[in-house]
Amino acid sequence: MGRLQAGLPGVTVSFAGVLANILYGLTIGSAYTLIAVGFSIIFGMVGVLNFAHGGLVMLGAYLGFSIMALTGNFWLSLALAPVGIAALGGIVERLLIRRLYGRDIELTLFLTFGLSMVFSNAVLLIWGGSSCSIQLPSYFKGFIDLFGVYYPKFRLFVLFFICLIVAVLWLFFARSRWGSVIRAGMFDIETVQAFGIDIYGVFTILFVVCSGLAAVAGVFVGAMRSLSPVMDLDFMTVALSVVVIGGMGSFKGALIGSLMLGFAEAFGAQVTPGLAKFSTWVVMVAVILIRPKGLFPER
Amino acid sequence: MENDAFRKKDNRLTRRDFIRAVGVGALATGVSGPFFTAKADQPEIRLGHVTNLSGVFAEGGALLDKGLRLAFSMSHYRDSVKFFVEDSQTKADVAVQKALKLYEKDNVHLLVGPIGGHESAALSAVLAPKKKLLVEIFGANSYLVGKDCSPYTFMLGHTTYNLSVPMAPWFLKTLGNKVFLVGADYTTGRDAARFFKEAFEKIGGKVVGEFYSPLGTSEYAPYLSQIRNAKEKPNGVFGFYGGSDCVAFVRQFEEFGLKKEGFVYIDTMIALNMTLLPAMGDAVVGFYDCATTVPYIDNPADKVFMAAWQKAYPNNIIDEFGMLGYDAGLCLIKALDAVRGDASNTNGLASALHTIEYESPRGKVKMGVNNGTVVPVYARKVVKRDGKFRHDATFLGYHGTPCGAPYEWGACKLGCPA
Repeated sequence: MGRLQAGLPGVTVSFAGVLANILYGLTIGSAYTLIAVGFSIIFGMVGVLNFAHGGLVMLGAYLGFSIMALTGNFWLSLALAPVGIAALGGIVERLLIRRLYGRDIELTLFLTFGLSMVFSNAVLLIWGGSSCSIQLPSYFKGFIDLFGVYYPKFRLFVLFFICLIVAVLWLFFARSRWGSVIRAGMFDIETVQAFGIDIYGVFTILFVVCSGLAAVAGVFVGAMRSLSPVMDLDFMTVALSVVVIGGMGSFKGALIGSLMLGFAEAFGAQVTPGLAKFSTWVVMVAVILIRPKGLFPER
Repeated sequence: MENDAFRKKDNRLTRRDFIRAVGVGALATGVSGPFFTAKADQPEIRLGHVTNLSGVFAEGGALLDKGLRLAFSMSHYRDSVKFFVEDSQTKADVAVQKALKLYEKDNVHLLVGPIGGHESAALSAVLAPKKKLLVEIFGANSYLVGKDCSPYTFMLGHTTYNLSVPMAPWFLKTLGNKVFLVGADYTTGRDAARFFKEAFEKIGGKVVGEFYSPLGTSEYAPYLSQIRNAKEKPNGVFGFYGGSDCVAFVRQFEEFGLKKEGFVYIDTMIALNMTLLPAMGDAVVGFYDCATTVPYIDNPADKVFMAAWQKAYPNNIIDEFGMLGYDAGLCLIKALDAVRGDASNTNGLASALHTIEYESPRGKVKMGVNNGTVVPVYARKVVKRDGKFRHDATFLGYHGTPCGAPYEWGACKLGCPA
């Protein structure tokens, strides 16, 4: 593949390099989507800034790790970890967060922040501080040559699988009756209740589904990277950044915002390796300056 | 805080075990001079340990502490030592806060420091002017045995220098003359690459590219393509990633096909340690690192350590961190013997540590005049035998950390090794 000298010293640009970064950006961005969609929708509809969302991703990853270690079956890990974390999300909503509905947003913020610390320490207590990662089955190991780019099979699977989930979610929000209820709830909860809909039941289901999605992302990230008891902070940063970029409560915003973050991370690391994370902040600041409410605000 | 659970575990040792362990330990450590025996009224030893219980080095911090406690549990100080442990969170500012808390509120007599080079530098800068003892097991920072050295700061483990520079001739001889440098973008990562580069270029080696990613990076995919796109194919990729960074880097190195294309990764600073290897899986087999110790090495002190470790911590594998914690314990016990167990004698302890020599599981260890140890250094290749990870080690000689004008970390006011 021919190479072109880019404007920055020491940076070479090739077709394969650009394609590789697009693929990295898509994969990272798609995993971020699963995390950010749940965070954004809960914030948009329920009005809860769930600071424990990153902790749910982390718990999903660790639970997936344990299931994989115990059974050696990745599919079981991918299925059971989200179920477990979805149940945890539902329990947390019913027992704790529900008590604070209608009260100051700061109260839920403090509650979920406290929960995030509980989750981090629970991970330290149960799994310890040692690094670990979800070992993949042999058929997911290796890579595929895509126009000169060696891309891991597992990452392609992750990309494909998350695309499917996103498509299902899109159809759900855009076409289904309950998707309409959620979207309507973001504007006016009282009116939705006036139609006889049990809005608190919807909130619980929302927490269950969003926690499950967070755990799916956790299992994928845990298999691509390494697990540590502080990884939840990274995911919270991602979720908050995506809400700022995409706009509060917006499915489309969460999707586009996540992909923008993924691309910023991938290309940022290529152009300025030491400032890879910084490039994501640059994107965020640029969006705030141009569109203070985000790219696709729902409310 | 005191760990009562540990004491309970100690109590399961029989008297016979204890006497045997102390006897063998004393022989192995080469205790010289009058053997100091604990008395019932022996003064209390308040030992502070700021270690990494969270953050990227979390896996090592807890093990260092276990090793340290193990050595004391086998010594005549087992009933008089009190441990005070704090988590540095792998952050320099937190490490300083915790160290000051230990010294000022818990009144510890001496402090063992955390793993990160940035943490040890910050701690020494605060503690040395106060004439407070700091013993670093890891905390690799060459400046602390150069212009920032202090009569109260001791680098027991290694420095970025003595686990990087000896690798240059080894690399040239074993792998070739072209290297790609990588590393975590902080003091230790940058220093390891720079010291290696200077030594490598001096003997005719060539650096074909380099990158440094932020500490705590979990996604290396965008960086790895730079290795493949280097103008010349390197014979190896050298640099320092530790803890969870190392796990992610090694796994993705293989995942993105670099290993299959013949690229080899060489880490340093004992990064490919027994604790981390299972998390990296088969991806790490065939890669190298540089270390002062090799688990399962055949020496008497190591045999004593392994037997004691397996008995005390049957659920923990034998690993380098536990061993280095134990090594530090042996060193401190010998220094305490020199002041007849009086840990409040700070200057006496500092004098003893300044000239200390002892036998540990890693071999013969000697303190250099600049308060940095001279230690055996090995290039280790990760292999798998009978389904278990092991290291095939090549001995690279005994290495300390020099100082003085030729080195950017400058001269140590205590003196520089010849």
